[in-house]
Amino acid sequence: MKKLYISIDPGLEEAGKCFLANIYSIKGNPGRGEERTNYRGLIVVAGPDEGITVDVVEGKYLIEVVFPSGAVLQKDTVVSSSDNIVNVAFEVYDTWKNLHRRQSFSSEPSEWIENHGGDLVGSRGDFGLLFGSWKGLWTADDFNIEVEDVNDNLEQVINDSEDEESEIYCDEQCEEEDDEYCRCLVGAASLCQGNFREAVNRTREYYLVGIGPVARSYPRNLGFRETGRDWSTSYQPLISWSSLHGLVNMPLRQLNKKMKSRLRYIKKHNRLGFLESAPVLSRDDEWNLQKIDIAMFENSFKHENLYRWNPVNKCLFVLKDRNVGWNLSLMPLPWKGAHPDAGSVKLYVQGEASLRSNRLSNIKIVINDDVIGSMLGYFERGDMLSAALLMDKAKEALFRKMDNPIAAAAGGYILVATETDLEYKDWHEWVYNLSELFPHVADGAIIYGWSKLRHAKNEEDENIARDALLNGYWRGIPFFTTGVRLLLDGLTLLRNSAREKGFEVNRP
Amino acid sequence: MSLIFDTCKSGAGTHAIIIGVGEYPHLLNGMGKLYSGHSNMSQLTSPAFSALAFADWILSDFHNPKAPLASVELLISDNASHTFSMKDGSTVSIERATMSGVKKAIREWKKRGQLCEESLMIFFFCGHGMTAGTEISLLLEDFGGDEDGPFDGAIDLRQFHLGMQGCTARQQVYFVDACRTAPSTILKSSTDNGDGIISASASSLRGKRPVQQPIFYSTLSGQAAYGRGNAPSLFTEALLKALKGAADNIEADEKWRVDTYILSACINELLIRTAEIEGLDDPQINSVDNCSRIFLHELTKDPAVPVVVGCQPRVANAKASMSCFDCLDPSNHKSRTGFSGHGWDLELNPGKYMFMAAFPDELHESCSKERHIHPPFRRVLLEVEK
Repeated sequence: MKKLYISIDPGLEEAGKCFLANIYSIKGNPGRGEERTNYRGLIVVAGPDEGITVDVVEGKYLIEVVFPSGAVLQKDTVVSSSDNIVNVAFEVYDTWKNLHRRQSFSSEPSEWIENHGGDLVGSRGDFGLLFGSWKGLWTADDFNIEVEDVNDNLEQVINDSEDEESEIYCDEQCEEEDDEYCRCLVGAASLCQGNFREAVNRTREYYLVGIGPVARSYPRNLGFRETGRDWSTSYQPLISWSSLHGLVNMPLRQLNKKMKSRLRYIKKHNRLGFLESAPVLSRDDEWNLQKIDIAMFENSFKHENLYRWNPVNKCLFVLKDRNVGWNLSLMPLPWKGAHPDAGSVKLYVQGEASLRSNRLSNIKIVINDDVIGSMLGYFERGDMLSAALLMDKAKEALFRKMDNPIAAAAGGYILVATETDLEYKDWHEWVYNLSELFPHVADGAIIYGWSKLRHAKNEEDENIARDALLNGYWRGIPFFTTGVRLLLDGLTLLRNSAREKGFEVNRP
Repeated sequence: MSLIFDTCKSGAGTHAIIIGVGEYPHLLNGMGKLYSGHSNMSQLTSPAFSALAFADWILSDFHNPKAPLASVELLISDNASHTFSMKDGSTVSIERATMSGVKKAIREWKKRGQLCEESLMIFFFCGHGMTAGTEISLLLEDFGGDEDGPFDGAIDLRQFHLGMQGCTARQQVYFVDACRTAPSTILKSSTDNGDGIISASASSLRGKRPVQQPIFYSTLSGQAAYGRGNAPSLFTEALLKALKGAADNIEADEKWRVDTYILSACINELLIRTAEIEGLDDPQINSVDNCSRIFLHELTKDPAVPVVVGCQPRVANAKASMSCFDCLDPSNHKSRTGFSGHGWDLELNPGKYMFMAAFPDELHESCSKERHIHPPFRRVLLEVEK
């Protein structure tokens, strides 16, 4: 038996990321009846000595590597009788350089090849800049977000009527001060390190802000089953949430009063990034290239305990796009990576190159985490089959150890999306555990609710699904936009069931 | 009458609905009263051509033995497209894509999908679109006709897609060829995204296996999609090419089949290639939501694999005489006509080919390379020396 060794010379900023490879065995002429053996969905880790070895027979092969963006590299190779092992090395950077391609890297900052100097034709030193108008918001060094005061969250403010902050929830006041609020500029974050402030001062002003969970404990049902009232009251915030950037980029729908109140609170307490006005980004804007590089949280606490026992200070990045609208991004923080160096989270903005544009900028959140980061890349693009292959590789971390509930939730969404029958599966129980073990992560409850809804055999099952979805709602904003869509969809299906039974349910 | 093809069979079949909207009376340069929230959207010429091209493909080339073509609904709003020529030479009139017409057609289409769980449902839309968060509106001809309810003339894609979960047919494929930008019109609309047309309830899903509903978007969320004047859009052009060449033959019977998984990769590559040729600043990148594998189409002959041949250095492209021949059948050869700096685009059946570049001016040395062609596409780079 001969061997094929497939490797990817990263040239990529993030060596260690995983990509999927296909091998087509070609004897003579494929498609004309010759015997062939194909391999699909092989996982190749980028980096030196990280390739994979595949047993093959003598013959000719076509090998493809498929990136999360959908970009594909191809190579021919021959395994002859004199070869024991044949190396097939994909040199990503050189390949793109030679082809002078405007590649889909422009839409995938996670695939950018950075730090390659100015030898690329037409480039000013950054591969990403050649192909698109994405700009990273950056700091000279990583900064840490402090989490010691995790209890200083919205819930506390809401509950304490004596607290002067409670006045910000007065709708009338918010209404009156709306314009002032939108124009307001506040200084840099108090809870982040100074380097962040220095790095951004020359362009715009930013904040570090945090937002607590909607509620620490979640009431059950609230009359929804009977009247649909809870669906009605939840619909507006859900529509606002639907505009949040989980790990998927989305613009913000019109701000409702509740969201305005929260943003006002966020501004006052300075806990994550806030960009008051979207920069006009053009291909030539070098000075404006910045990147927010958010490091892992300090190891002063056990990561999973934050999600398990403490309400999470959800971190929002807020971007106001001139007069068009708002972008909000929910940062997947804290993020626990597969190894100590992994887990940084980056944020990129792709702005319109014209002040007259009436479109919102795009925001991209990139997680540097080998297998799971790649899994999320395929997941975000909707390539669930590739995502599922990588999820399989990360099964242990995701489902057994379950110490990163955000990554585990991504796995849960992939399982829900790729399920095509009604057979019982082990993961149905695991999904329940995800929901119960992390009562501050909305995604777990949503995934559990959907799995129950899909497999409902009777009304009681539907009631369990309803409870789970409502729990998801009361836990606050999910980390993934997919979660918001599933929540909206699930509650809509249940609302329609209530209607069929003659209950009065009105869309607000 | 929007139904242009119907076999009236009750078993597993493919039911398609195709909508193209180019004429918008209430947007810029339209014939009606201008809608104040037009967000600079105006008339389009590409959607009618896209819808007609897709309809033509599905009626002429679509082949799915497990779910043969059973019905086609076609609605187009365009000042030129009033009739459609069928293969048998007859002509049928085309209904306009207003909300009332589309609503009726979609509900009839869904009814046909109720007949069999194994049926395949295909939805194709080309026209203006807008996105806010998870909400996507597909604009029909009468969008903006009422200042108080502009989205009365739009499909709420999320609600519609959700509603189709209740349809008995468990395999559904959606092609949405529209912008996914977030103009102020939709951002300022508090909750209204249009009409979902179909609704489903939790109890209607009971006992049904999970539905497969991939949505092929022509562009990424937040991005624009591009059309060509009086020609199919970039996405539709790539989709139709991919349906001819993006096949796999991994099953034991070795038949070439197009599935949703391989289709996406090929469309992506073709759109990037178009961006190269057209000199677009940013390529239009397609994306897929909920992509699970659905067998869509079986080729009746070998796939026509899109191939791009280029020289390194690139400047040699404009001076090279390029040609290729099938290594097993040298009489099967092709030559590039003309010279283009973008390289040579051609379609080849799978196989082993010899590619050659010759230079009449002798500024570069001729070179050749043997390469295997296999779906979904292939790039061949010829390294030439001065």
